[in-house]
Amino acid sequence: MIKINNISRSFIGDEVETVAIDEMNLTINKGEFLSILGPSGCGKSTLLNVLGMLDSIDSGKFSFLDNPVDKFSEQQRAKLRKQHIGFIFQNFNLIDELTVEQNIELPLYYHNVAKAERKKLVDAVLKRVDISHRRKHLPAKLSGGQQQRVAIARAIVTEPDLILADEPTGNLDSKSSTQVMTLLQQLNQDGATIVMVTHAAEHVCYSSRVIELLDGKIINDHQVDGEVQSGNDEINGMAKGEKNQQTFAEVSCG
Amino acid sequence: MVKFLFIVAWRNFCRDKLTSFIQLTGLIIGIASFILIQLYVDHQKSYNTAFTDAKDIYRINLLRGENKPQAQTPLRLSRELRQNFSQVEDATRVSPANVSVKYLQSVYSERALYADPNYFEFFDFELLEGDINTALDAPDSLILHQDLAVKYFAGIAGVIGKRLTINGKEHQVTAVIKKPTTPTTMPLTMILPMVNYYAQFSNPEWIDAWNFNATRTFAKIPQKSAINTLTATISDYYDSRAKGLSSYKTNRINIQPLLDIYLDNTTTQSLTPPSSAVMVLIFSIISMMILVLACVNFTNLSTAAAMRRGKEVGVRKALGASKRQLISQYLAEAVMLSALASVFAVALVALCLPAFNQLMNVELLFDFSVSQALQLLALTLLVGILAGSYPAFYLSNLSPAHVLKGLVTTSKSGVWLRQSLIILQFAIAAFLLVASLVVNWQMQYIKNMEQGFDREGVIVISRGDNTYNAFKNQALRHPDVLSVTMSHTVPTKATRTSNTVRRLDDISNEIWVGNNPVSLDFFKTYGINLLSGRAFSNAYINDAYQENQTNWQSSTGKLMINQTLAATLGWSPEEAIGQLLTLGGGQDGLHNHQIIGVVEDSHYVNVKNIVPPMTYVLSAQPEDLSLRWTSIRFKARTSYKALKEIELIWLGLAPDLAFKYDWLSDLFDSSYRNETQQTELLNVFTLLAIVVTAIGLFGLAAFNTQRRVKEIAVRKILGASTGQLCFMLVNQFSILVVAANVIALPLAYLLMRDWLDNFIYRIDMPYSAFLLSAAFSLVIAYFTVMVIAYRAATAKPVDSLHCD
Repeated sequence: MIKINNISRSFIGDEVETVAIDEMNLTINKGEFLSILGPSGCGKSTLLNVLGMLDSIDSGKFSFLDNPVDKFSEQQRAKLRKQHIGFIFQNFNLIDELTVEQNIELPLYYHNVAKAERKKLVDAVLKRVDISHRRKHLPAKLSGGQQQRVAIARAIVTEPDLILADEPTGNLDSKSSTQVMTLLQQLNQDGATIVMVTHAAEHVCYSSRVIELLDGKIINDHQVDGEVQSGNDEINGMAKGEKNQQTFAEVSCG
Repeated sequence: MVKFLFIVAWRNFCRDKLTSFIQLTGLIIGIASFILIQLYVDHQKSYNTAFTDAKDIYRINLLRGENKPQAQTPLRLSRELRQNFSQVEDATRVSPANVSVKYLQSVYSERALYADPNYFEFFDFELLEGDINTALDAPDSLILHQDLAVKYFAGIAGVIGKRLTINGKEHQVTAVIKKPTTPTTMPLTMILPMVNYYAQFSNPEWIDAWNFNATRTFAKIPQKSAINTLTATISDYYDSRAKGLSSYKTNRINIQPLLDIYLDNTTTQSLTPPSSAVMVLIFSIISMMILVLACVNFTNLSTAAAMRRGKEVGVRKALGASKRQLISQYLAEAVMLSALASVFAVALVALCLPAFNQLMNVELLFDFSVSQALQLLALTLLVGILAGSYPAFYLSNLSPAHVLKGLVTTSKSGVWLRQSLIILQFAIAAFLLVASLVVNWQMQYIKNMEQGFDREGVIVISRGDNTYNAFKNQALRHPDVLSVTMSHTVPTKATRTSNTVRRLDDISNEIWVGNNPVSLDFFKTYGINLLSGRAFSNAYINDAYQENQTNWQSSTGKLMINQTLAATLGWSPEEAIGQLLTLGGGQDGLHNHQIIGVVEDSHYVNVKNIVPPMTYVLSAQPEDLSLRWTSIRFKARTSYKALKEIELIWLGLAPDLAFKYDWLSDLFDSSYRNETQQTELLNVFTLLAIVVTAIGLFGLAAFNTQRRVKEIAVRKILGASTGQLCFMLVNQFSILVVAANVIALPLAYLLMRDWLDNFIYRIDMPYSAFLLSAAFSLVIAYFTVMVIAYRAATAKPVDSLHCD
């Protein structure tokens, strides 16, 4: 689905140039649930923005569904983004003035979906994230977990091929986090490709693959094996690989 | 503390440069406009105020029949007032006339004032030279205004005793008047003794006639309370003497304060063309409006910026600042900004004043006198307090707990206030827009409407009756001259109005008519079309009009009339030919004359007056019916050389009479000069009002957009196109602009309807002006906001999402 070869992205500040992504190679296949781990400033968010075509790259090749994105104009990228990608943010980024269902309806509106169809899709997705009873509320009246479920509903209502989640549980308590992660896992099981940036190592267990970044480079990349069982205190899924033993020593899923 | 206040204010000013710049620019334009208009308004109101006794001086105007009040009065009136009315302390007369001044080898035409010796007791101009008490005593005295002294003697010193030949008679300069700094309605020209005025009369009885109006009479009446009774008694006195001398049924006077003369545009025949009190009032209101617009900008942007300053308020309050301290802090900041704006505004005024003076044809001075400085100080304080009080109270009222949590943004009342203020601004702008469109169109209409005469290619020369026949013969030989004529009056100038005509079969029904005695070729020269019959001609010896005062019935002469008179008499132009009309009445006997031609209506004075029913009679010789104006029609695009050649012919025949000519088209334009200038002024300040409104909206849009920058990013990520985002951002203001128009347009309709009703010849209420104004204000709003919106909508969303 996504292939990046030797891409680099750096930011030029007042005095120093910060290399956020350094000649990175990565392939993401359809149906994967990829977690990106790493300390602050390692380039996680930049990578996500690049994958979401919100940010451009300085060099390298980037192909998305066989489209040469690195050669695309801003407009072409916007079009591709609109058609195939849904976003979930740490701070939800719901529009305060719109109700829950209006927020969810917004991308459909921008996709020129007819009104009746919009209603049907919104209803379905509201059920799916289990927030139908709050549909008329403004975001400010919802808890953080509820807001994030609305944000997820908004991200998936257009049935995107790829969902990009930037620390989706970063602002949530543990109970809400679990709900959100379970929801994402379900979406993945239903066929969505998900790329998630996270600080919380325990959430890695929900994903199928994890990469770890440091200073704009991938230092670890491996499959996650094992079922995640909610509510289980025991480690019942452990990343397997040869080079990752110490890195994931403290990871516990559940 | 003050220093601290100043530092905080300055840092705040620098922090949000765009907002501060817009606030400052708005205030500068507002204050500068206000100062300029007020200078103009003060100038308009200051006419004649420099005279010591101005408050006690009045002009006596005549009210004859249904005519508008007129400033021309009988020559004997001032003497009668002095002798018979004890409340009148003194009276004086002023009669203007064109004179020919011969100096060295050249002849110049000047406008002169013939005045009584007590002229300076009324109008105490400052003299550069000479004795105010005796300057007009000798019959050959001559008083020059400063500019004329410079013109003839290249200086103002040592001019006393120098000589000029005026209308062939030698005069000696007795005084030079210093150019006054305060405007006056008394023309700044040369002053000659009144006795010389009499000398020009062909009939000496005119001096004592009650129905020969040839002077402006001014009276000193110290007792204000006497005015009403005096008006009644003088009117009766005048009526009992003037009755029967003319056809007017009533003869009244009014007593008008000297200080009101300039702004009274109803009374005719003033020495100086009047301005309009209504326009002066309108300009005062406009200057207030622009100032309010600028204050609104300030208030609006300040409350919008309250979000940013909310935190500061919270911290200050938490540290123990009282509400009063906060209010004074923010008020002080507003006053500082308005003071800064005032400084720039003063510079701007100084910069614009020459152009403004040229536009309005005035000589305004901004000399920054003590009183002007004090006024400016008061204005600065007023603007600062007006603009700063709401933000000050608003900010100081914020609850620290809320602002520190960042809840200021959701303040409903703040949003509501800002929106109301935007509505107010656009309402003012829309109102001014409609007003200037309607005014412009109406002025265009009256300037371009059919005048009934062809004003291109015609020059009008004052006098020339003595040499007319020879002049006409010689001038017609010039290849560029098409025709030459002479007449008592010409289009753009007033007609005689005291005549009446009646149908033979309806002798009791008097019809008031204007009358213009002309010589041959008048209609040809002025391009006035003949509708039926024929024009006066040499071929008919009985065409010339001649009254026989011993046997009225045997008066001879044919009549030409205009279309309006034919219609008034109940005839079509064709039916009127050959009919007899009865002239005379009053003191004169009745006499009948036959109509030989009907011409199209043509405007005299200007189209602010209705076309009167007109009669034209033929004056066999110019002096018979005192023809005063020589007119020449040239071929199209005649050259200056041709005019010089005509001047040579003229001077060859009358070496003492200046060849003073005006193009008819210039006379026409100058009869609308005040209106044209004021329309231009209205346009300029409407434009400024729109600019101030637009920059205010720009600031607010920038602010609102900045507030929504994250939302914009989210929408963009969700797939919104640039167009959709721009529309969203712009659209929030269109409802406000529409609301503003809904408020302003009915008001504008009512006012413009009343204004148009003042015109006899007027356009229908142009509804397109309202549509245009609504559309234009929307376009302005869209364009202004679009600049901001486009920038926001095309920004990279990723930049906005992380700036929490």
